[in-house]
Amino acid sequence: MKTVRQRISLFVCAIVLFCLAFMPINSAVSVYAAPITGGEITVFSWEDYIDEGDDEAEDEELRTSILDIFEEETGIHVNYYTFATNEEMYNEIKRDPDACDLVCPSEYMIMKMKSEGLIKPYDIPENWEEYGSPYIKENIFGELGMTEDDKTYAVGYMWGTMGYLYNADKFSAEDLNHWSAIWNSEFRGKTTIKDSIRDTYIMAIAVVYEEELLEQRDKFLNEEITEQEYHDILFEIFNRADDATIEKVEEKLLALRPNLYGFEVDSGKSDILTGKIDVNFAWSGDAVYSMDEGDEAGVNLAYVVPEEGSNVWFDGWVMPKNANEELARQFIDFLCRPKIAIRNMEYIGYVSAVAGDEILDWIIDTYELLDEEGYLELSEGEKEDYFETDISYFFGEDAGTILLYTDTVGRQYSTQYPDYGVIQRCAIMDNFDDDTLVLINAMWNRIKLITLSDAAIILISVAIGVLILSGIAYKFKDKLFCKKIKK
Amino acid sequence: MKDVNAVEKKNAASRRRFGFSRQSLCIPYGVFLLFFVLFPLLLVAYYAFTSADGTFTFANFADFFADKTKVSTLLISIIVCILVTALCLVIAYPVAYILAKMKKSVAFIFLMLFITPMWINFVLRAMAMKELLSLIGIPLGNFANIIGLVYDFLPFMVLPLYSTLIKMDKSLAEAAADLGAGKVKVFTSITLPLSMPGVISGAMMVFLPVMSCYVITDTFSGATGFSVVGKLISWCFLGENGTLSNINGGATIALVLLVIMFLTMWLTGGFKDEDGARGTNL
Repeated sequence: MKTVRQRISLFVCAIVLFCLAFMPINSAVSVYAAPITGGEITVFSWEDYIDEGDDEAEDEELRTSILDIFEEETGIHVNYYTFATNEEMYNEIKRDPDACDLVCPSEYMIMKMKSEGLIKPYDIPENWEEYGSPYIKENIFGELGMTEDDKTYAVGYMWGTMGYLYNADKFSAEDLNHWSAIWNSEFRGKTTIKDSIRDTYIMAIAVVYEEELLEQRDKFLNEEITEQEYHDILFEIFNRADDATIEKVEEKLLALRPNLYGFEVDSGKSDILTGKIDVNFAWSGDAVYSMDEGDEAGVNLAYVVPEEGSNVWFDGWVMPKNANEELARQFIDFLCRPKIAIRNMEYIGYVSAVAGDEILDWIIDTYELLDEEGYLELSEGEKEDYFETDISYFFGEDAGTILLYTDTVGRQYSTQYPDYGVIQRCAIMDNFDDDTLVLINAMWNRIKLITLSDAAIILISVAIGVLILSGIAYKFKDKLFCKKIKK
Repeated sequence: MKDVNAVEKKNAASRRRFGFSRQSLCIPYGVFLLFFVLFPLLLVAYYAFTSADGTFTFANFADFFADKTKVSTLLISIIVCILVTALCLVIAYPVAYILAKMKKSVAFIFLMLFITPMWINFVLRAMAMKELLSLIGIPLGNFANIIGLVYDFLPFMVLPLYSTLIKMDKSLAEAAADLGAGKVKVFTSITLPLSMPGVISGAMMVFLPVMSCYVITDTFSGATGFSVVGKLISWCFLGENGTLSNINGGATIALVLLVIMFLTMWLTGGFKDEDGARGTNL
């Protein structure tokens, strides 16, 4: 019999141990769930997607985190949490709609959240109104219906294109100006594609409908169709997801598989520097990163957006339904300041959706580009090496002319700010509906994994079954066969 | 007898005074078991038998077994597990045998050579191995996958084998030799049967984790290599590659995997730990 005292002490002991076991978790939870009161907002974004201060910077200002500068200025504290995939973020918001005030997903996820009513429109921040690039605001947001009257569902943060990053010492842009190039055996074992169906799907679509895309492009160049018509056609083709298309995409990707070095989302950036691969299907921001690293390591890399056209994507700030709109908008407004945008661009390596003269000057400065005045000072011979590049789509009509040195085509600058000719053949990719997503995902499984033939499946199943049965028989051999002897 | 009883009574009395019996020490572990083993297991079972909106269903299992790609992956995983276990055994047995015969001080050094790499995280080891393979010129793919898995799980086979072999009564082998058994005969009728517990516990240490060890196959498979079932589960839960997570589907695969593991354990008598060889594994 246990005494009462014993029971009490046992009980206390159990409670203490129980509390001890949960203490660290408990405190972590309480930090995460800090109530949003007064001057505090919770921001949910990608890892390394904001300049949190460079400890080694010489300039004092560059050493302080952008979040701290914001807090000092406005008194609003920012709780910054990160996610690794759009889907992870979506699950989190779905689970707890109050979890945060500001999120930075990609365009298709913004569309999905918008259609499900998870996010709300808010008043357009002043700096976005003033400095936001007309290309993002009018063309892309217009197409996706992001803005309603004077409210917007999103404000652009970073944007870019997709294309081939290649080793320019071994190949030229001509070798890779069709998406189908990496299906050739000369690239065998020397290319990587994205381990992400959405991105890889775009590339496969461009190969499946290569003829159609090129035909439309020629029509556009011969002025048989208008720019708008061409764009609408591109948008339609890049967003095709009917059964026949998915089947063709699967065929193409299965044929590509033996030609690949691997699937990646991150390692391609460095594999191309070490020479493991020669071509990488890359996001423009990663391409710039690799080029910068390559310049230091003595590897000459370049980026090309193939002729058929490509995908243009952006990440933008959206507010979940229950966000603190007032404070969150102040933060977005702050991020849209050209000066802050430049800091983030320098830190992240992607291209800000914010334009404006200050940013234009910074680009001209950084890449030592020529404007019109500089061009006029050149001698006739030197002038031949330069040509005009049109970026007024991004910086507005009065951006002036920028002249580009022939040798720098496909390098950092033209990767970050493609010529308008490239942008014309880029389309955004909309969100797939859930049923299509199931089909596409099953297709992706078949590409990533090995599917055995029916005969092999049956044969192996039978073999395993026999193995298990013989195991059971062996285990019970005494009971099965030796009953008589035992008696 | 009376004395013993008296001592025991005294002990019991002192124990009672502190209100603390030896069993109380099990409470932390019991709590841990309850919340981090039993409860999650029940959750897995719950999700496996419910649909996304929480109603009872067998559809998850039907979906899994109707999908040829997923079933293929499961079967391939089982074959790979058998293959890797066999390879590990073939490599590890002679090593453990030689180590057990060595002088203890020398054996210790070699044993450390096996154990120290295990102090490094296996993801890092896999990445280093990948670089090494590319240096030698072995392309990524199925073959590299097998090398990676064997490399990673070899120590788990060597250690139980070694600890069984070293505990073995040498006089039995000597007696057999004295009675005229040749070296081969001694090995097949004395050493091998006596080391079976080590073989089985080593095989379990390799066979079961390989099923879910998708980090290794991710590293080594390149574009054409196989993946193990663990990959499917991680896809379902993390919602990788642009799709949303499917917790119910993931739980289903996890449950199938659990059943396979329990079956293997049960058939090999893995639940009984008579020889204590398992306890010596790191």
